[in-house]
Amino acid sequence: MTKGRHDMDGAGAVDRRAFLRGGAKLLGGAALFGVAGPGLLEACSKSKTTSTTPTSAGTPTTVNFGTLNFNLPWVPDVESGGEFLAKDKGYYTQQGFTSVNLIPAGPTATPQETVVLTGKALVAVTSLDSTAAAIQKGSPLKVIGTQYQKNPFCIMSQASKPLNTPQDMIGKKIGVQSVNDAVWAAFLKANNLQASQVTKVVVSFDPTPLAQGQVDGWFSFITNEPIQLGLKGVATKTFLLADYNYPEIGNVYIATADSLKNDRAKVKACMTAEIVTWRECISHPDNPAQATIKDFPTSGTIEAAQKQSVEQNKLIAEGDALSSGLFYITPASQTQNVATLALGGTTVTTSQLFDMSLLDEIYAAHSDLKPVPAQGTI
Amino acid sequence: MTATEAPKTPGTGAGSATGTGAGSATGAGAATGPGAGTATGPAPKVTKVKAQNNRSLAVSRLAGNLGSVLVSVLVMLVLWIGLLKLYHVQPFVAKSPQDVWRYLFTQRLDKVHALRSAAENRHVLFLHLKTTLRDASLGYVAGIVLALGVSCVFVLQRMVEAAFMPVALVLRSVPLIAMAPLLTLIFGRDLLAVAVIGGIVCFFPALINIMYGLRATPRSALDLMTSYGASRLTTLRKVLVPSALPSIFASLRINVPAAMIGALLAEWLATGKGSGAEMLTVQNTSDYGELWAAVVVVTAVAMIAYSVVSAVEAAVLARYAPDATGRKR
Repeated sequence: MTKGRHDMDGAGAVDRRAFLRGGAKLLGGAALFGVAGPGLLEACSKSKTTSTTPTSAGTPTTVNFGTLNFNLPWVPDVESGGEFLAKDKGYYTQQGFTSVNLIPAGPTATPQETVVLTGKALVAVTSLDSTAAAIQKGSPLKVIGTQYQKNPFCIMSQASKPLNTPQDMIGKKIGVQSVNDAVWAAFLKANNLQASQVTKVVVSFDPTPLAQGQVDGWFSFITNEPIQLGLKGVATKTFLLADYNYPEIGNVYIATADSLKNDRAKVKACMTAEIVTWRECISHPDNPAQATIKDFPTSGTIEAAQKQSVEQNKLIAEGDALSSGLFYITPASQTQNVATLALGGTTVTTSQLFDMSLLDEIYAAHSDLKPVPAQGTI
Repeated sequence: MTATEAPKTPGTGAGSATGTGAGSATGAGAATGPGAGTATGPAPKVTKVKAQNNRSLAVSRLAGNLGSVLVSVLVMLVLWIGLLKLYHVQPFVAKSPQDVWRYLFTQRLDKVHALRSAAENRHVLFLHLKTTLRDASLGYVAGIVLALGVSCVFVLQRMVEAAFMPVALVLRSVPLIAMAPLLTLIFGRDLLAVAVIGGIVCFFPALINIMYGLRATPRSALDLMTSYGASRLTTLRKVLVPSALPSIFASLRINVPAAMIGALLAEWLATGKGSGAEMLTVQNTSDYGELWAAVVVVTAVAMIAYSVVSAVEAAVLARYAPDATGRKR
């Protein structure tokens, strides 16, 4: 009897709590509106100023491409700030998509190559190494552009126990995310290191184990983990893979040969939106940082996002992009990248790997998108 | 997966495996009928016949297990081919049984497409498998030993059970992937971590099963022990544990695949060595041939180990708890 009454009390409490929670949600929503309101207005005015220069790419199209499935390179953070910004500002819908589904990747997600191959995503951002490995094994994929003209891969260590060169890693434990295995293996080969000489530890995305001394080194993006730890007060030392026999582009766009042929307009629309949004990221690095933190409040602090946004722009608005437009991979760069891949034992030809015809067509149709804006500051 | 398996296993036995075993056991039983009836000879002869029956029961159970393994291999092959066909999964990702066969036995070295020879493929797979087998054994032993100890304590001291059962539940219900960072921080990334992660996976189903067995001891046997003034420990040793043997073996059996999963998880989350880590690596280098072959090999090993444990179980139960098989019938 008493038990029954007790239970009923419990139910009542839950109801009250649920009711209060609902109320809080409403209040929270209102607060969000209050905060986001001016931000949105500001964003609109900004986009107006950028689009007053008549961009044919910016004019709304009447075609209907349905939902765009886009596989991000990593867990949601400002690395994909351009995509979050494009989603929030409707750059994808401007190109004819009704909506966009941004699929996160990460240390344990299905590899982007597989997601694209199986048709679950139209376009993905991934590493050149894993795509090249897939192409060598016969998968019908093409690299159609690159975000980073210079790859941000680095090995990060604690400043108190620094790893300054690849040779310093011998006998040490290095945390490597499984997504970066292809790069890691190739990098070791490029530096004449045996896999047995360095202990690879499979790690997740959070670099805390390095700070705690569980591992001696951490495979990182120079634009990401060192900034994260730096803001937590952990001093780090890094060396770039690019400086040790591993010059390569990074965060490449991929699509299947089939969609390049049969869904070409769709892929083109997606890439056009990508160019539009990343141009804005370069001139206004705060915008992708704000969009990321707004959409994914748990992805990190705004300070880290802003820093990373500025840092990654240096890799995007760089080298061949300045002369040939964002994401463009020139024939010379293609040859160099194929040579780098061969160091790691992945032998593919430039024509197997790259297809720049889509970017050629986009820049031919929208010459106004080609000049890379000056890198903004925060 | 194992959690949902656990509660139903003590009741149903080992599904099809014991089903066939029990079937042929009835045959053996019928054969003893006339023999025992006509002879009515001296007692030693009867025990000899009984022992023989027990042995034939064990043999027939083993045969039954092998039969069921064959059937399940067939079912798996049909499902494998059928599902891939039905859902039109990209052949680059989805490998067929023929592809796995080629990978393991007929593949020639092909540098252009980065394909190793079959011999080299097998070498790589078995290198990782050795590690995984060691890891699985570690987790298996850790989980079962702990479960045996804890379940005895729980059964003897209900208060302890009330206090510590929630801890066991937490171990089971918090995803290992969420606990992994903490576990690797405390236990490192070597064999200790393997034993802990594998142990956690095996512990809970074994605990529930063994406790069920210990509690299913016939009341009359307990009364007998009480009337002889036996201590609780003696009762545990002489009555509770022997009568829980069927449950103990059931958990030994269901924990074979669980231990494999535990080892793969530990390799994935902590050590970065063995089949578990390799499966993740090759997925990211799009080496789907090796991925599928590794899955097939690991599955085959788990099935073989399961059959071996079943055979041992049949032999031991035939000797120590012959009525256990009868009860299942």
